[in-house]
Amino acid sequence: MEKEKNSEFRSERVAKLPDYIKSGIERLGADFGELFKSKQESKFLLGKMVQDEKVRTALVALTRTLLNIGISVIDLIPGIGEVVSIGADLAKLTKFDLTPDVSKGIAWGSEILELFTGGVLPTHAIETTFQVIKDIPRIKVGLKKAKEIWSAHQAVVKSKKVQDAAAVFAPAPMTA
Amino acid sequence: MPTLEEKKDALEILIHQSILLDEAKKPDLVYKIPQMSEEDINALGQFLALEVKNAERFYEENLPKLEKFIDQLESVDDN
Repeated sequence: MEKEKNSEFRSERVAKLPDYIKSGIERLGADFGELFKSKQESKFLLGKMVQDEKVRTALVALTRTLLNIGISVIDLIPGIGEVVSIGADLAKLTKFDLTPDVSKGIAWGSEILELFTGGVLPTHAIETTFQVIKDIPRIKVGLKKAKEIWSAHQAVVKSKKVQDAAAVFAPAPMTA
Repeated sequence: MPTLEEKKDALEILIHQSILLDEAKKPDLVYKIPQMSEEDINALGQFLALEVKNAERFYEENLPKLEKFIDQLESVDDN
C-alpha cells in the first residue's frame, strides 16, 4: 500500500517535469540507447567498458539522470534498458540516491515550495536540474573514456596481424 | 590450407586480442595451445575469428553514434 502510494507520488512528480526537459533527455537517451540495441553486443561491450572507473561513474550518472526523468521514458527507449540495468546494478539500486549532489536544504526546500504552489511547481525538476548539472561532466568524461576503449580495440581488430590470424580460421569457400 | 603450426600462432594472436575471454585466464590458455587437438584449435579459432568480425562491424556502426552523442552532450553544456 505504502509502496503504491510512493510510486504514485513519484510518477506524479515525474509528470510535473517541463516537457522541454523530458524531450531533451529522451532524445539523448534514444541516441545513446541506439548503441545497445543488440543485447549480446551490449553485454560484450558494456562488460569491457565497466571495468574502467570513469566509465562506471558515467553509467551510474546517466542511469541516475534517466531515473530522475522517469522510468516510463526509459521503458520506451530500445537498448537503454540494458544500460540502465547495468548502471543500477553498479549503483546497487536499493541504496541509490537519485540526487547525491543536491544538498538536503535544496531538496527539502523545493518540497516546501509544493505547499505554497499547490503542487503546480515541478519541484523535483529543481533537484534534477541541480543533479544533472553535476552529472553531465561525469557522463562526458566517462563516455570519452568509453570512446577511447572502443577506438583502441577497433584499431586492434583492424590491424593486419589480427586480420591475418582471423583469416586462418575463416571458413573455406564452397566449391561446386 | 594453413598448417597446424600456423593455426597455433594465429590462435595465440586471437586469444590476446579477445575481450570476451577473461584477461586473467589468457596466459593459461596460451600455455595450453601446444597440447590442444587440431579440432579444439579450429573450434576456438573460429569462435575468436567471429568475435573479430563482430567487433569490427559493431565499431563501424556504433563508434560514430557514440561520437555524435558526446558532441550532443558538449553542445548541451555549451548552451
